[in-house]
Amino acid sequence: MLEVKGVVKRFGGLVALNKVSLSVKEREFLGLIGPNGSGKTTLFNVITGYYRPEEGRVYYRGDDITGLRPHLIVKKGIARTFQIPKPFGRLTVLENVMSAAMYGRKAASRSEAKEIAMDWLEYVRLKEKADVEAKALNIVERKLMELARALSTGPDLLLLDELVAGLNPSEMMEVVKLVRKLVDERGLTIIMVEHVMKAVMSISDRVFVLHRGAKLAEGSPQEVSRDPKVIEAYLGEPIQV
Amino acid sequence: MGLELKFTKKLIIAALLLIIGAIFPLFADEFLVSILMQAYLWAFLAMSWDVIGGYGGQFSLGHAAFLALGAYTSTILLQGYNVSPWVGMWAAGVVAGAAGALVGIASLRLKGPFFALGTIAFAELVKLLLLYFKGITGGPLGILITKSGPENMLFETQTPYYYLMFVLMLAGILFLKWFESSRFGIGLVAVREDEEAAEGVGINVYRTKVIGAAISAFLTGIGGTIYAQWIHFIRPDILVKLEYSTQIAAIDVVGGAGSPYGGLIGALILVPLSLYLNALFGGMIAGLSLILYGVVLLIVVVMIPGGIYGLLRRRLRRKLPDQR
Repeated sequence: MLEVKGVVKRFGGLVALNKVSLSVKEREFLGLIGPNGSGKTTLFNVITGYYRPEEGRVYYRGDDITGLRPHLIVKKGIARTFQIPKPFGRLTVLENVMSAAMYGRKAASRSEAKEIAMDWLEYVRLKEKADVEAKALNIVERKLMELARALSTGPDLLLLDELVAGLNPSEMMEVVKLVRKLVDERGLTIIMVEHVMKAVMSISDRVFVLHRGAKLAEGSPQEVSRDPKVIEAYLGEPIQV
Repeated sequence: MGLELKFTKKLIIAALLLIIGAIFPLFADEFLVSILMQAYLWAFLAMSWDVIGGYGGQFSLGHAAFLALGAYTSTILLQGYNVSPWVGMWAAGVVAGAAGALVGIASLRLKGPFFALGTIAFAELVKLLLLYFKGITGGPLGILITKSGPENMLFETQTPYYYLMFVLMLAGILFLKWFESSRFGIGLVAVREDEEAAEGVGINVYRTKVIGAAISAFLTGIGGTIYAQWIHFIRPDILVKLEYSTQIAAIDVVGGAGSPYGGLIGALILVPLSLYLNALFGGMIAGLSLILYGVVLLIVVVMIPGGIYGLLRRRLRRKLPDQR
């Protein structure tokens, strides 16, 4: 469904992504992990059009979408959330989510958009906050609103950037279940960047590990969590005593 | 139930204000009528500015240029081609709107204070062009409106103008009320709040900014026609003034930018104040109103962001916390 081929992204002298290739199948849940600064968010920004890579291409359902402007990528059916939520602060929660339905893939009319928005707000359990200004939401609610907003664009592929970071364990498991259901029941494909290992490992079909801008390992959660290279990357070199 | 009550209350207040506004000329003298009328006109201009300045978050200090382009377009059509301003005002809107689109394109590159500076420069450019093309615009001498009759939007007394601008102001409020919950309005505010997130929900940020500026300028151009019809005489240096651009922005910010009522509230306070000060000091102190607007703007931006309307709304909400 999504095919990233040999993507290179540099910032000045820093190589943020070094020939990264990755592919995702229809209705797959891919966990994208790696230590801080390993290039996870950069990769998201390349896929969703916020950055243009210096080398490599991104294909989505056979179309070359490399460097396409972000709003056009949304119209292809790819949506994302941001690591630090970006609410439209002075719009209400409902308007935030409606904007996505009106401008997203289907360009819904106002009344349709309202229905779509209310459905997704109910799904993320934020319906009773619909008429509140988005800037009044707490961090958890902001993240849920962003999820609802991304879903309202009508995507087939959803990119989640640290959705559950900052949530307490019970909230976290709840959101994880919610997200997993999107794949199992609604047929979405999801790539999730996550720091919380418990969340990624329990939810992903497959895990992709980035380290210093390059692929370190890839496989089922069990394989990856046993991989010595991965353990080393996360815990550092073993110390000789 | 609380909401219903609030709605009826709102309706009653609106109806009362409407009636007071409508019968005002029957009781007040021509002088007061003239002041209120000017407040309505400036309220409309501030509301026009609000589209890009308030909802769009692009602080323009060049709106006098759109006012002048509108005024010149309909006046040239009237004096040169006998086109009634009732028709010409739409052409005025289109010409000003096209210029607005150009400014919108500039806003893609210029952020914040640089955009404001850019719009000042743009207004100066428009003034120079109006002076330069003497053959069409009359250059520094300007154009005198010599026609007459209601069919040419020209009246003998102030009262018809009062109603004209009353309706214009009401139309402005109704437009903004519709605009702020329209698809485009929500998109424009989204772009103001966060451009990256706006792109992330599929909004074409470039197009939204350019169209937003064009709509704002279109409305200002229509206001320009009405203004010209009222003063009967246009000249580049009396229309394209930084003072006017500042006044338009200041009225809206003081009243409450990004709301349908901000323009009216700001105009009802600032327009009488500036007319009074100008009458008091005459032309003796140059740039007095500029200083006034500067000071008032500073105070409002620092002390009450959201303007007077924002302040009132917060107060009301605090008083009636259970009415949500």
